Amino acid sequence: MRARHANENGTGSDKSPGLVRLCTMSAVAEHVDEQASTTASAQLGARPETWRRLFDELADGSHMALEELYDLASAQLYGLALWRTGSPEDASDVVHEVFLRLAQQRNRLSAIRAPRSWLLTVTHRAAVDAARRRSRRQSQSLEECPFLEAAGADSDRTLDARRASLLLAGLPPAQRDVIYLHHFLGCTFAVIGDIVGVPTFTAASRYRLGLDKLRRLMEVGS
Amino acid sequence: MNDTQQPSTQLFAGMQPPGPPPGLRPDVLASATAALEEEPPMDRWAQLWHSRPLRLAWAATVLALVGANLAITEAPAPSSARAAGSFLRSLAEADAEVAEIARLPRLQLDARSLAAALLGSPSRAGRQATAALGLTDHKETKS
Repeated sequence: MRARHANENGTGSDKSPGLVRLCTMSAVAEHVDEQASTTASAQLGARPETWRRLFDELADGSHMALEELYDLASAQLYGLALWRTGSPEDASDVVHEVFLRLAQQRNRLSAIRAPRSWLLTVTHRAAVDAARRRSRRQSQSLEECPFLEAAGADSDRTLDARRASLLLAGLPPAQRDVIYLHHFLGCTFAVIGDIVGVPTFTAASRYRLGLDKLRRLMEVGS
Repeated sequence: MNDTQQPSTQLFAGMQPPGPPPGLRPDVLASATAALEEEPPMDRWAQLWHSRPLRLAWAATVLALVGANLAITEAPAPSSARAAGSFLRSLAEADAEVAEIARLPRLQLDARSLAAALLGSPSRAGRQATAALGLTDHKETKS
């Protein structure tokens, strides 16, 4: 598993020591998060064929495909938009905009190779625009944003989620994006690089830096 | 290395990002369905093909370009250019000094071209350079 990830991240004997260290770190990060990523993928139940079929049906104008696609993708897209904008209202607007664009551009959907990555890319761009507009309008604090919530009704977990959200608010948005895409959606760093428009190594280093910063914030908090 | 990852994985354990609000689904589906029922917007080439004014403008532009090309090709040389040419010819005939200036002399009258110098070089390096430049003497190649 580790070797597979190392190869995916371009680790090779001809790389410089710093590059090798970065690749090794990202490989270890993927290894540690393997269970979480697998769980996320299983929960998403999103096989590439499913996305392809839905996009093809939507290109033919199927309303059922639109509903099915919403049920499949809305949570992922909303989460990405929320983690980028830090505002539930803006995240809702972003999801609305993305699905509207999806319906308007349905004659182009059949030509899209990776539907899920395309949707996440469109969502990320829309979220970046929304965050930029909001930052021009007002300087709203992110501390109130619920980036995470408890999976069950456990009150301890609810407190933990509140605390984790506060910590996540202290991260730069670019690092938050990568953590969300990798940890909760199970995307590889290569795919994340395509989505956010950065090289694979940059995505991996953002993930690593984000985790390091979270750890420091936790130490300061405790 | 795992120690550096544990705080974050422990931190995220049992937590998940919030889902979209329940009221968002009907709103999104209503507007997306309305957009789905509309005619999809045409791309630029389709717009050009289906719009009569744009098609006419395109055809008129092509005709104008072809006409202008023909007019430029077939038109005789302007009289001012002819006059300038004859003036320079008469000036050169009248003044030998001007003709000498127009004909640039070589800086070194006995200079040989690079190819000739390399072909005539007896050294091994010269022959290798000649071969590398693709200037191999045919006689030498045959031998």
